[in-house]
Amino acid sequence: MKNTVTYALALVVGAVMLFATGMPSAAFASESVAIVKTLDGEATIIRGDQRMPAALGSTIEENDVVETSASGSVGLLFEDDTQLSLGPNSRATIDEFVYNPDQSGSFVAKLWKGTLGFITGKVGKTTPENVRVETPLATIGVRGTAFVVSVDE
Amino acid sequence: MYFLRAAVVATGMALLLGACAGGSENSEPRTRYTSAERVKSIRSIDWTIFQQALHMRYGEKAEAASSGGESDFFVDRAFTASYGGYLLPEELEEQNPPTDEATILAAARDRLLNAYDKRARVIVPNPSASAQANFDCWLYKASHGGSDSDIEQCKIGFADNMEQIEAALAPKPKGSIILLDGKVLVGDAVLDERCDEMKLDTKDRSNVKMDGTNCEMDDNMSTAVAALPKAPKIFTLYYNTDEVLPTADSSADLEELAGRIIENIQSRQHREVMVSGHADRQGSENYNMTLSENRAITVRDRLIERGVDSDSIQLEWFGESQNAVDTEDGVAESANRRVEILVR
Repeated sequence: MKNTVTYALALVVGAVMLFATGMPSAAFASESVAIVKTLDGEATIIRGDQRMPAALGSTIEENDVVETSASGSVGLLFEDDTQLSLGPNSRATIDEFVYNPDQSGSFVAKLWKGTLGFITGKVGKTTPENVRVETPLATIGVRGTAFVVSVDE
Repeated sequence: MYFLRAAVVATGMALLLGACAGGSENSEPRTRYTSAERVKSIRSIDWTIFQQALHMRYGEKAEAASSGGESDFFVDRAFTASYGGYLLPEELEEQNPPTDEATILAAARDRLLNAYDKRARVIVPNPSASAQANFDCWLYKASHGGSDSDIEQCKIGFADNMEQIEAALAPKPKGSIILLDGKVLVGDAVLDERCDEMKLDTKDRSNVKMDGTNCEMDDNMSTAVAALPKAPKIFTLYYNTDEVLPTADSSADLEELAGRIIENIQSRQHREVMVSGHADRQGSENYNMTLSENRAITVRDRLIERGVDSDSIQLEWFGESQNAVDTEDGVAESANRRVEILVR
């Protein structure tokens, strides 16, 4: 009995350690990858069929679509400190975010319309080749960078 | 096989058409074309893509014609098309279609001319040539008792061509990127100078002006940049051995540092503050755990006193387990006696 308890404890400890150190964020569905840090006017988070008004502190998950109103803007801070913002009348998808401090990560966002500001985070420093912002016109490969991009409808 | 009245001369880059109205008497025919198939043998590198395509499409219509008159009509059109300038779709008055069809044909012709005004013959020369040949086919057959299915075929072909042309002429989205720092790759291009701008739709490069320290940009871009969250910032406070109040050269220095920390926190719309207490390896592990906890709590309380919302503060302490500088156990190390304040 005592052994069983010990083994169970070891398993739990092992799982917790793995969670804490070994697993990339993408392995967990519906995990927060970013937080809404700035908000002006209205912004909406679209997750599957759900539409939620964005608020300061709202969490963003992989595959979320973020939209801003005609006078809105929103700023997201990712787990790896990537900073991403949308200007008015914008629509973007967070297609991919994988971050683990000890491993390679990736970041892919797509701007469908509007304006997007971007400042590289830790993923962009460790694995810049895996970081890109796509638009209907061109794909932007990010190499340790701050930029702003606009796409008119 | 239909025989032609047309006698055509090929003179260098231009082709003179013998059968066009009033032209046959003035030309000196050297080569006599006897069938629509001969249209295909005439080409010039000097033709535009549109002229070449139009010549060929008319030739194909001549081959597929259901009467001698129709074949002649298209052979005429083929050579006139390549004679120089741009031959327009046939005028309705030249063919005199039935009244009910004439309205539709007139609208269709306008639709094509409208596309030509938008440079369709240059941008999409092949579909443009097909559309014109299909239009003339539709007009000729409708005016000369063509079968319904033959008319329909040309009409549908025209509609398909127009759809393709209009899709190609539709305004494309425009976009641009301005580099603020570092380097980006845009397709094959590299932007690596601050304020470099590239038009994403044309790949045109330019450099936007500096407005003070920032690149000059339009309102929406400025709004996006202004909406970027502040980067996280870590402040570190250091301690004398066994102390829970941080050290500083003077109380004014400490006050100044506290002011900067508070200002950094309050400058953010959404605040997360993580206060982490640490001790060095002098003393027991248990003692150091409590010491680091007390250091963290003291900092948190000061932050709350200075107006930071307690809900935004998270507290953690690590005793002597997470040294900034590795030491043997029992060693006093000022760099390890610290509280880190992470502000996001």
